Amino acid sequence: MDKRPHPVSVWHYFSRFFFLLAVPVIQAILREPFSKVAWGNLPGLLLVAGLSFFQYDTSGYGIGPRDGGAGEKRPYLRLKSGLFYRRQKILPADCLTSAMIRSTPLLGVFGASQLILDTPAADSRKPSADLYLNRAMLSGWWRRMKRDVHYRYRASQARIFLMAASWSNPASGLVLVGILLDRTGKILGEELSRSLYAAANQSARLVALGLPPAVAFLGWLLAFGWFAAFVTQFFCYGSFSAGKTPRGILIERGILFRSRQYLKDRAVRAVSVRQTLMMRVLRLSSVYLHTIGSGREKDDRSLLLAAVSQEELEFHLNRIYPMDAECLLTGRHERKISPPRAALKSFLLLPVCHLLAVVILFLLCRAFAPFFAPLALFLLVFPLYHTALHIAAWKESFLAVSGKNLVACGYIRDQLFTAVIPRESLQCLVIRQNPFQRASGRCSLRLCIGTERGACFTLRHFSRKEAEALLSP
Amino acid sequence: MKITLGKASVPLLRTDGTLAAAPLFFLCGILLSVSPLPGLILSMTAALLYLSFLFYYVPRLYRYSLVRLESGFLFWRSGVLFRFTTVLRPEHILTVSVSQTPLQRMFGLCTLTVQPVGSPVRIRQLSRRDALLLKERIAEARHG
Repeated sequence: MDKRPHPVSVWHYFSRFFFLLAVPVIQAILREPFSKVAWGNLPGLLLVAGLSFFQYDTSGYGIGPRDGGAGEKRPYLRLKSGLFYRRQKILPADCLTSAMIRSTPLLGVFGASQLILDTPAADSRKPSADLYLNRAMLSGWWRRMKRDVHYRYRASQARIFLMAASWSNPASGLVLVGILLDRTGKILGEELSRSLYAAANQSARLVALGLPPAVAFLGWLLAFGWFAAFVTQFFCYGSFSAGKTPRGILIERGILFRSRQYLKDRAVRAVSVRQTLMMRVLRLSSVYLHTIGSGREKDDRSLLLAAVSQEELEFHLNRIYPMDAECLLTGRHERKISPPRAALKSFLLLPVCHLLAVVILFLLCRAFAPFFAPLALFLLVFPLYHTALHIAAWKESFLAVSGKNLVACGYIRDQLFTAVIPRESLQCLVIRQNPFQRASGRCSLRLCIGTERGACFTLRHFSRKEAEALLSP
Repeated sequence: MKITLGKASVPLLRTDGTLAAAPLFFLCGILLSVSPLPGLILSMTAALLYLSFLFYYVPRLYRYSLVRLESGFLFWRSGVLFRFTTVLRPEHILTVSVSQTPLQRMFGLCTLTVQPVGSPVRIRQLSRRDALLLKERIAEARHG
């Protein structure tokens, strides 16, 4: 028999339209309770709300055994939804690869939590199942799972702090704040965003303290962007812990917005160690799990060990990672290739273009807006970091065969990675050559492991002949 | 087993290119009547690009593109300026499908899509006979 999800699911069915309609109606009613105009918009609002309630009313889920053939009964989860177009989804329990419980303060007030279930068939935009259920019920299930934990890793808050600090950058923070302000402004009206922008402007003046306002504003903006990104990362990963059970891995993380995830061992495709340059200087690295089946926040959920030293990495990884990653710790490989020495020019091409762009900007500023010229020099930090990262990548990059594993080391965005990919996890190999690489006989390799969005590890500027010889059947 | 693109892929790619270039030439014509010199420069550039596509890009793409199913691997190579080779194990392929757009149907071509876990690999402009044969061979290779 079908059960109804938690009533808070209605929230899930409210479209953005509802909030766009609701706030002006409530504002108008509060301002002029007896005006016809204020109440005139209410039917539209009730219509949208009514549709959401009816949609909730038709949704349901059920758990039960299903005939798996030869008299075998296999448990499954059945989900139904849809007001006009009825939809029924069946998820066999043995196809599930991960389950995640997400708790937020708002859901907590209503005694609910969100359950997200993933299978290998999940697409990158939405998980296989998304349900709001009673929090006590889900917490009970999680406690039962935790009883089986035989090894537990807990990251100290100082490590999370360090990791969040090294990950954060002003641009990502500003994007987050920008989206937040934009959405809030759309819902609550322009008055709010205008007053927020005005507040920011006044703060800039306060911070200026004799500095030219433009300089102070830029500095303020960058600092604010970095701080916003840092706070987001810190709250996202605070109180992080990972535990190993006989058949899977339990990961808990987040302050205020708590996420608890269970990953089956067979969902794990690869493990990678990542370092920013700052973490490299401190000899710390973070470890990530790459798993099959996913929701859109997969990248956020896959952290396994946060900012650990080499000794801690060896100690914890052997106990938590379900497959063999010995080669990651020992660094011993049967066959290994690296980019040729001449590839340094290719590695430096992008940072040099980046550097040139900043120099051109500086010269343009000096010619047409001398006041802003010193500001352009601040931007040199980014190409310099970029250059240092690419030089480190050129020195460190390699592709190796080690037993049944491939070991790949390269760079991704602002980090260096070393990944251990079991050969059977490698779904697809793509060898790419641009016209310059074709002339020099080099190539880029994409090792696709078949996780969400066709996730892959990209290695750049390797000799094509060497790569083909190493990877040939 | 080696399969090249269908012979009709050359006229099909040329037709695709012509359809894509038509609006550009229309805009060039308007610009030519409004402002002759920039219009002339743009028209000549567009014509050069179009001719390069027809007589350089398309024949080379046809010659270079190749599908191989051998030694337990499926190889797909293509590209002219930016070349790529995709290597897959047939046992990792979950589904194989053959599809046709209206233009492909006109020219007797089709697209073979192989779906491993992750993003699909599309092999375009194969002749229908070759695509069905490859589909069968992949199915055989998957079952050992």
